[in-house]
Amino acid sequence: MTAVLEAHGFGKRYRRRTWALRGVDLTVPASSITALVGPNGSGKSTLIRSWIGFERATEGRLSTGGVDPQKDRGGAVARVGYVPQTPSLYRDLSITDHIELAASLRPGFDRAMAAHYVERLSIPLRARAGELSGGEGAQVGLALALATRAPILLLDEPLASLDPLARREFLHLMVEAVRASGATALLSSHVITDIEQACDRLVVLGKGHTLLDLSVTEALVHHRIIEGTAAEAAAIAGADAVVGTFPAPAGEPLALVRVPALADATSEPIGRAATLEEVVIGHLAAGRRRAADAAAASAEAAA
Amino acid sequence: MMLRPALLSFRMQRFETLIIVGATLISVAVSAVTIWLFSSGGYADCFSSSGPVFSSLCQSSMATWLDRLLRASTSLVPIFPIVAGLLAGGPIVARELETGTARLAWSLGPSRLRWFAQRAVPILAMAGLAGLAIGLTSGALLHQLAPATDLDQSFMGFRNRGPFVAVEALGVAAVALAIGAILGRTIPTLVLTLILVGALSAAIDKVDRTLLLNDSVIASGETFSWDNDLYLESRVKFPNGEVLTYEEAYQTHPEVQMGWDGNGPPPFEDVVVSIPGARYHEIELRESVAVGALAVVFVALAAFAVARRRPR
Repeated sequence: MTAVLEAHGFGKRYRRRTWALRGVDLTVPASSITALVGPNGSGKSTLIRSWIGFERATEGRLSTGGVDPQKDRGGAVARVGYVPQTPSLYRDLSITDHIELAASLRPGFDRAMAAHYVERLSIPLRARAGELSGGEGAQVGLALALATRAPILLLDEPLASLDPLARREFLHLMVEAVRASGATALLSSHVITDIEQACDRLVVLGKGHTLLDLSVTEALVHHRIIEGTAAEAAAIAGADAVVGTFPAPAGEPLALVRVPALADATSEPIGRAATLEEVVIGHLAAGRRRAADAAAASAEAAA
Repeated sequence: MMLRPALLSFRMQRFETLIIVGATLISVAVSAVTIWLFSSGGYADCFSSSGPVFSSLCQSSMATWLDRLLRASTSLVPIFPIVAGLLAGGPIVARELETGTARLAWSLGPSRLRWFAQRAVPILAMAGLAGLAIGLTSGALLHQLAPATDLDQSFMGFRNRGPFVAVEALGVAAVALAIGAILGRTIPTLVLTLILVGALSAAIDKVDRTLLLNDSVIASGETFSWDNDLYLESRVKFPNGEVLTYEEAYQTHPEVQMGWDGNGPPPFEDVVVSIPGARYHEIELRESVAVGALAVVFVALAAFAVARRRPR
């Protein structure tokens, strides 16, 4: 497995105080579509911006397609197509102008490909960016990023402000283009259902740390849900197997437990199958609990 | 290859481009019409001597109106480089950072300096060319107001005509560009640039005055020409050849404060410290080079800020 995005002991601290991320070790394999999931403030954007050289690491190191973005930002940018949360298009420029601008800035930018993607989405090339809806703006941003023909695609919560149909169209275009080119994509998002369909790998960030890093298939196979408290789940699956508990929309709390893959079809599985959303929530709850325990321990030590 | 990015740069600053180019074109057009009316109508003769000319043509309302227009146009020239420089330079990087478009551009282009050059060079060139047009127009207007004066040998309209106006506009634009790249906010950039340009102008004036005083000559009332020479200050010259400022003279020679009673030869002479008009182009060039060098420093500072900073 060749890793195209790597973080080794990566940490980023803002204003000499707040650590956005600390001790992050992460590798994103080539030709994968990896979902980066985590609550607000978990450091997803910081990590993505650091891979493109927009942020400087406080500690540790990063690699973007084999290049250290801190030492060679231009090299990192040249390997990346980037789509931010807000498309940040020039309001007064037309889509054609954006394509021309991108071509003037990026060697090897594929004008025809950008125009093809935009037209396929029924967005007029002569439309001014200020006239586009949020979804159309995001799609233009994606078309520009794809037309860079970069081997790595970094998507920083581009789905956040899109309606369900626009989200689906965006993901369809992204997945199709990435699969066709063999590129690697990292998509940060809150919307787990979309991720399940589009991504083949899942990374969960919480409180500045990596909480989970494995394939979507493994995440689903190795996790089960038991209805009940942590103690009840521990009684069934063993204390070490309980990842975390979290409230259900109604009724009993839910416990996420880690299980080995079923050895054979005759084995009786415990609990019920977990959805990807439950896997993510379970690990986030576990991360929050660990952070609270660590804070309490450090307060006790200080006292 | 560079034409398309330059056009895009102008379109990104459509509003500012419209104001600067529009104001320049209107100013040049109005001035051209005024000069044509002045020349073709025979009004130029009204200004050929130093005093007022009492003729029906020169006393006509048209002559008065043209005179006012000429004077109003030339009096607006000092404001132009500041306004044009602010509008041109301020938003180049500041607005891109403010609206987030810098993030798009910097994620597309591996070289931020290339982006910076594509964005800044056309706009700075526009500010410079607009300043040049205004400066040359101002020179032509001054020539109408003082046809007997050889402007190549005169400090009339010093710093408000010729290529210096272009350099001044570039200087202000460069300062605004650098501050915009550092602050990343348009309105604070415009305010801070105004303050900094005021402070820089005062500092430059102080240094320049020292340099000019070193280069100056002492002219008597008879040899000094108000139309051509650059007045720096008045001093007092004593028969022994000593030249003092009035403050110095009041302390060492109390009779200066009393004044001359008119009896006998005057015990002192009022003289003028000045730069002869023949040195106009030399002094203009020196100041242009100084302001131009400052502009280069600020553009380099802006480029450094662009290369180092993180987009919002």
